[in-house]
Amino acid sequence: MRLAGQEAAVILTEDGKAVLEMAAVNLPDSPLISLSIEESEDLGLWVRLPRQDGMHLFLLRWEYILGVDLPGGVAKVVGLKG
Amino acid sequence: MEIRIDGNRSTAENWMLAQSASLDALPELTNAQKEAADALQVSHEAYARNFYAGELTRSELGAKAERAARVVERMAQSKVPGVVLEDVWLKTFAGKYRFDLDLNRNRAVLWMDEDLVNEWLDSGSRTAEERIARIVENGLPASWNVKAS
Repeated sequence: MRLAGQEAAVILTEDGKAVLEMAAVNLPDSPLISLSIEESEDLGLWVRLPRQDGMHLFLLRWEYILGVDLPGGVAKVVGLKG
Repeated sequence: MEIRIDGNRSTAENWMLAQSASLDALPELTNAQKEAADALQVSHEAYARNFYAGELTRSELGAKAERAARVVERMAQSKVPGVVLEDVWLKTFAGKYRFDLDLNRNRAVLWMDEDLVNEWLDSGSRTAEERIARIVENGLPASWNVKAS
């Protein structure tokens, strides 16, 4: 499964939520947290965080992730050409 | 030809462009998208920015898929005159292209690694082109009387 670049909703452990809050991410009350994945690797997911000085990449370790929800399966037609 | 791109993938460059885009440039969300944003407790603007990043990338991937499809169709036609490429589908989660070809209402499906197609399109690799040509030749049904190389 290639996760790089995908928009996903993740379910985090309480520690995971605390880690993101320490990284100054405003978390919703919802159990699903919307994140943009830059890359997936053995340690966890590198996610994109918008900051005032531009994009930051943040490593969210697998041990903090309970689930990943991807909007997959439905293809989008981007062109109908002869 | 129908071009499909699944998933919602964006490059870091397009994601950054979308984060700084003016509000006017952002797509208007459908009711379903607004409901999805509300379920995630994400602002409609933030949801629209992420969606816009995906749309920018989807457009680029669509153009690339079309280029790949045109060449695959040409290769297939050199082996089987009359064959037509009906659909190309980039399955981003799998990193695979699916090409659906038609000959007199008989269908054949070819699969190729996205990395191989990228190597071919981005660097013009002769090795990649030869591998793709072999995939086309070997993937077409023998009943289509495929011309040997």
